[in-house]
Amino acid sequence: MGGVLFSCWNGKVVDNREKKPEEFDPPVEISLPADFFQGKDVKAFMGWGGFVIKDPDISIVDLCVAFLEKVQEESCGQCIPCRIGTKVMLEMMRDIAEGKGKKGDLDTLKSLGESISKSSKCTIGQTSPIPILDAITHFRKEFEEVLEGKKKSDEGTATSHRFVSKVTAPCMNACPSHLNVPRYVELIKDGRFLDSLEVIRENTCLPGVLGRVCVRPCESNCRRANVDESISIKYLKRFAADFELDKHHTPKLPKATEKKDKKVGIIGAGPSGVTCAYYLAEKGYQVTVFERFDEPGGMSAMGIPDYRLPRPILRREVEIIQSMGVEIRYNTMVGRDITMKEIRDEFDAIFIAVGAQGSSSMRVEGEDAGYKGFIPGVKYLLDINQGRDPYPEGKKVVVVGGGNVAIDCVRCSFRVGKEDVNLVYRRTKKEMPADDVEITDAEEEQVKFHFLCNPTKIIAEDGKVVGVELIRMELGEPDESGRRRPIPVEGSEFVIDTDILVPAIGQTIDLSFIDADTQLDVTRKNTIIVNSETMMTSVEGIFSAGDCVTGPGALVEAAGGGRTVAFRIDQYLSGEEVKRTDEELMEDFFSAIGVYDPKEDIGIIDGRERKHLKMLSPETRKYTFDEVESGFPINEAIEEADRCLRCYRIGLVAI
Amino acid sequence: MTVHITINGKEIEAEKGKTILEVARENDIYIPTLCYHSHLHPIGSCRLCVVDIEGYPMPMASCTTPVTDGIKVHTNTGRVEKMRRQAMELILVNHPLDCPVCDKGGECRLQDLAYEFGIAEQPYHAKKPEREHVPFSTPLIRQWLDRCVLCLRCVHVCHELVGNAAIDIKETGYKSVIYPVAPERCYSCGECLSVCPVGALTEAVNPFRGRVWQIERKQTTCGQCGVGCQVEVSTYENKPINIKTDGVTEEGPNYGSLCVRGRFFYDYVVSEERLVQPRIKKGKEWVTATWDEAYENAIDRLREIIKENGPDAVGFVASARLLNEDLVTIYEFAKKGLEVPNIDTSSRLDLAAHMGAFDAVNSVSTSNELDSLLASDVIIVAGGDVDLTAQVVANRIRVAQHLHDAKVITVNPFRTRLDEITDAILTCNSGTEIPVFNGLIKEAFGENPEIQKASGWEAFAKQLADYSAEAVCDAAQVDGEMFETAVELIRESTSISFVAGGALGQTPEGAQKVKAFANLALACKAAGKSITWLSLTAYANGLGAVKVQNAYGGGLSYGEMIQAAQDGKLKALVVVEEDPLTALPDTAYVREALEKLDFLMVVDLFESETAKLAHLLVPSCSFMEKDGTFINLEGKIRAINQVMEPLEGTRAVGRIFNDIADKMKLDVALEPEAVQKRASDILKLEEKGSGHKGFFTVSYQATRMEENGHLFLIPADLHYNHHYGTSDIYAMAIEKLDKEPEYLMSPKDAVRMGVEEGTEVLIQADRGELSIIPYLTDEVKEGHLVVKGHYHKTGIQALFPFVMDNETKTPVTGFVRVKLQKP
Repeated sequence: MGGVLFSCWNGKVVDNREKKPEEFDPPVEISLPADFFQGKDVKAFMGWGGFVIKDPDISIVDLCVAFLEKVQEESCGQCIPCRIGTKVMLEMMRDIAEGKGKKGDLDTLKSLGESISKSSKCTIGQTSPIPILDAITHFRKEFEEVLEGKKKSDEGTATSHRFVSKVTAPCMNACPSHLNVPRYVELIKDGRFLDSLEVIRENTCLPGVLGRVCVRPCESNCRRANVDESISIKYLKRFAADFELDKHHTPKLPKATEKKDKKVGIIGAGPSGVTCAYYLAEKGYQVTVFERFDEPGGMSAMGIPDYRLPRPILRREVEIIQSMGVEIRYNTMVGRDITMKEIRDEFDAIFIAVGAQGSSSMRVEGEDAGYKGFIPGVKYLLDINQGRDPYPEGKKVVVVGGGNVAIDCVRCSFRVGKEDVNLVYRRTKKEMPADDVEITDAEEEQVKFHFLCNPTKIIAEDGKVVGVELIRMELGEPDESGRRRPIPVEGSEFVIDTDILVPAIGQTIDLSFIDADTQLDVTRKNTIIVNSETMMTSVEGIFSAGDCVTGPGALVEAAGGGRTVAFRIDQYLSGEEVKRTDEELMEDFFSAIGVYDPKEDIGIIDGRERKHLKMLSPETRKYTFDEVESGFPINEAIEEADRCLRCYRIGLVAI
Repeated sequence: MTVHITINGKEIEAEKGKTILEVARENDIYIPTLCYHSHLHPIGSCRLCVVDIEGYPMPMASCTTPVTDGIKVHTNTGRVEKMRRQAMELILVNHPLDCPVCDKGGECRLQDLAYEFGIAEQPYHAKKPEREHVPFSTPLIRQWLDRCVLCLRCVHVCHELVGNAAIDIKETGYKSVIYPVAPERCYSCGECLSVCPVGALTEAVNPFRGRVWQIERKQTTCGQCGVGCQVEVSTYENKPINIKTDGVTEEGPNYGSLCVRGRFFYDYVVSEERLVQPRIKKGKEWVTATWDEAYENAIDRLREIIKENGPDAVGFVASARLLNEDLVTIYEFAKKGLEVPNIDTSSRLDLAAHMGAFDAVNSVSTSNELDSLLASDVIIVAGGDVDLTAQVVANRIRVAQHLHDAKVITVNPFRTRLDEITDAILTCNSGTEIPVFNGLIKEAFGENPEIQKASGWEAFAKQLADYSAEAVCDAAQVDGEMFETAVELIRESTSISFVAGGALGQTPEGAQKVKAFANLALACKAAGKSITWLSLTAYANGLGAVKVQNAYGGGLSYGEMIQAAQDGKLKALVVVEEDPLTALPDTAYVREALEKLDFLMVVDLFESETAKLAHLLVPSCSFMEKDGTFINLEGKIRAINQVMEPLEGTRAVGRIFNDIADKMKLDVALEPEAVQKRASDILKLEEKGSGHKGFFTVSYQATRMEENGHLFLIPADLHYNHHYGTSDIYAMAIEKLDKEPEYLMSPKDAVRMGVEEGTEVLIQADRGELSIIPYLTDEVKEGHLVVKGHYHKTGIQALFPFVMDNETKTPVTGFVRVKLQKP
């Protein structure tokens, strides 16, 4: 692994060609990951912002040809400069490489490239000429030598290399499930809603669910935000899913190519489990899912209230998965109704996707005393989501915590008839990990927030909670999470009366179903350890992903994990090497160099506001479990989709 | 809201939401475009319309960029001019040099742009990709891959307006090509052809061609159905060579859209089969005659019969596709000249069932305009597959949905293409439409306080007592959730459109069904909603014919005249451009009746089935060969302009009856000026109509469904795709399309009856039998056999009994019980 010989990214050049390796300056604006894959070094990279050369044997002309070939492969054909212009550039570049170039070709390339990059419809056309123009500018001598036939383009290429390339976009790269966001948004713009949904389903089988509750990393990586506001990607996904449902279409699903005789057992019908089941069924495997409840969805069903994710949406998406031949055994708890051994005997591969369904302890006095009215957050939501009031005699509620579960607990409380609802959080609103939108919604619904305080003692009478003692906190130095550490203010204790106390400060993982014969390595926090390359646990043939591996996380991450595991299990059961594909490696590579640049000046006209969904008023919604937001009307979905800049870009590495 | 911008220094006040291109055009500032089309959502593929905006480093496509306050736009900076020029040079890489033989030569956007930019050299080169040539999605259009500039207008129009997505872009980069990805969905409507800016799509029907400088173009109204689309007919040497819409001055009602009939079925007017000489039957043989001989024959026979049997023994049947002026001539001639009481038009066959409802709905301030569909938040379509009977209307419904998310409800015994975008699909058993409408009224408005105050509601509400959602869904076999959705949509709407398809009125109790539908409209109105009503008619001048008929009064109806002929009471019948033998049910009965006549005179363009039985056959002209007016389904007067001289040997209907009246020395004024005056007076008349106001009392009798081994045979619509036998079956496109009728039934019935898909079965009715090949689909409700196809081609009319509907005085044409037999 040497230094970088030459780099030009976002116009910033670092030229080490005349220097000794030990004097090399590091590249600016871009830093390549240490290796592409397990010691395979990146010899050169060419992409949307320029190029980097590490290996002096890589021919710049060949690199340009390979890159332009990929551009032609990916140009969608929808605009003239990109479709024809990059073809003309490619052929000119090929002629140069083959020594058939003409004098003046380099200038023509520059002139054409500049026009294409300024006039193309999307970022494929806008960015693709950039590295070519940079290469011609900074390696003009090399180009001229080849052009004039003084040197062959591949002369001196001592080392062998291959090119790997991929299209990405900031939103796609940020998405744990790598949804092809620009494509499905564009199809909505074009009024092709069902086609859009088909594209979404290539990467997730839960469009209606993610379209409602995703934490949307795509939107925080949306280039439109550099212009005005990010695209409402999540709700456009919901729109496509709702369109299919509202207009009564039978889902268009991929057909399993061939039935396979291998069987896969999945523990947990949460987002990770069902996603894995979907993609395995698509490949023809016989899949059985074990679910301890009578309802699919795991934490997305038990932990997300109906007003955010109506149960029929989730049920329907799971029914679709069942329609592909996946069997779900409800009310079947592993360790109770079926043993781990039985599962290991029956299935060729196992996927553990049990999530994080326990509640963390607050470590305060009285927590383990079994007081009535003391109800852990996950249990509290579970009861409500199963249609029960967790503690009917209690009217006043205090929820402790700052995450989404805490917010769900307070907002649900009104909806089961609690009159006085409080949230206690040890930091301030700014540090709350819950979604900002959710916090605002809770405020509108008149939840009382108590910031900078923390429980110290549960106060009970006759075995029932009657209050909680809190202590004031102040913020000190930032901790490892980057948030300022809360410090108790001595002697500031005070009491809030309450009937119900709900701790919602974190979730734990319950692995007690695993028997002694299954030697699963776990971390200190009781998360399952998997090999990041194979997604396999310490036990051969047992895979895992989702919250039980990562700790409590976002639904989309769990779903993405389930999808990846499906590919690994397929490799495993097909007798192939279990490893990441070039595609995945490229996405990882892109993540390492960074696809989204929040500082980028895009230079286009602004002022097209993001569309918002219509919401029920706080007075109406706080007492019902009806969905708070209604989806985009067709015209607004089209308008919103029309704001998308289609930020596709191509990266190509030589390894 | 307005914003202030400058374009090239000119200060402009512009409407917010408009694009820079739109604003520039409104202010006469030129920006070149190739892919932009005013009827489509901006595509942004050609990049010719790029402009610079001060303060922004990137040029912007003016077609997709909305104006924002304060921007300073420059349309002609050196930079954007260079980009446009380069884009043009790129388009021309490998563009064929076949302009001299290209249909589009002389009116090609690319040619114009190349000329405008003065592009005489080609600085760029690329190897032409090798592409496999596959047939286009319709045999009526030829695709020229090398001429295509991939502007994507065709792909967008097929998605946006037609909703079919039959074509799409395939491959990537320079290999990209427009490909028929789903040809089975193509309607052959030719919207793609219409928007193609170059010669990449050309009409593959008419062998006659003409260069743009050789041809004449004239605007007129399409003579196919009642929509009244505005078209431009190109003629060359007195032959129509194509129909376009680009140069049409008026936007509505079709906004450039046409259906397969309107766009491609025009050449029948110059068909070799056209009659060009009068004929007189001598024994069983035709003898050609001069016009004078023909007139004499008509005069002698009519005089003789009137003298012997009185004028009551004579009848006239005229097509509702004739112009108002033609109809006035015939009515004046018959009613005033000959004092014959019996005269009717073919509008009896479809609009008669609608008129009572139509008048009542219109008495409460209703829009009949197609444009109002775009302002509706809910559109209810009942009776047939609008896409296949009046595609232009379906196109407007799709636009309404894209424009402001209009919700759609359909009521039919089978699924239609429109159901792909429908929110509440009320697939009901045939004959149960009345309970469905009653149930919708009861559930949507039963508790509405506003409506309780409406006059007549109290009495009307009693009728609804038995129509709870549950009862209706059970009786009509309608999906409960869909019904609930429909109720909710109707209740919440503020502006609602009712599209009554032909099929609704053509079944038994058709008029009652349309009235029940009208009750729903009246209830919506009473609840404070604005309403739009459209009665779809297969006849270009359906409403005009009704108006003329109302002005003169009738005598025996069309069907009654056939009955009277059977009974021997009617001795002479004059049929003008109408074909009772294919239009009426029970072919054997009608044939027998016509054969009993002492004198059958047929005036027509072709030797129709009825004409074959005529004693005197006189050749007339098409709508392209005369001037006058239609009234379209919006109730608007639409101008018919003569685009070609009458074919040699033929005479227009107006002239024929004027000539005869002259020769008979009748005391009627039938010269064109007098007729025009009379027609325009009639058209100005306030429609008295039925005079009915308020809710209708609708009777309903349940039709028994469960009869073992029987199915209800129902045509999807009698006028499916084009009309049936007097003219456009002679269009060349029909032969090219070669569409066989489809017989659809439910797989469950098939299992029960032991019928297999693709295997021939015999359908038997009381009046006859027919051998068919059924196609099994869940789109059809159990107990039904749905026929999609032209009435004339299927011959199914032979199976229907001749049963008169008392209310409409017309035989029921859309429903018969049949038995399936293996042959």
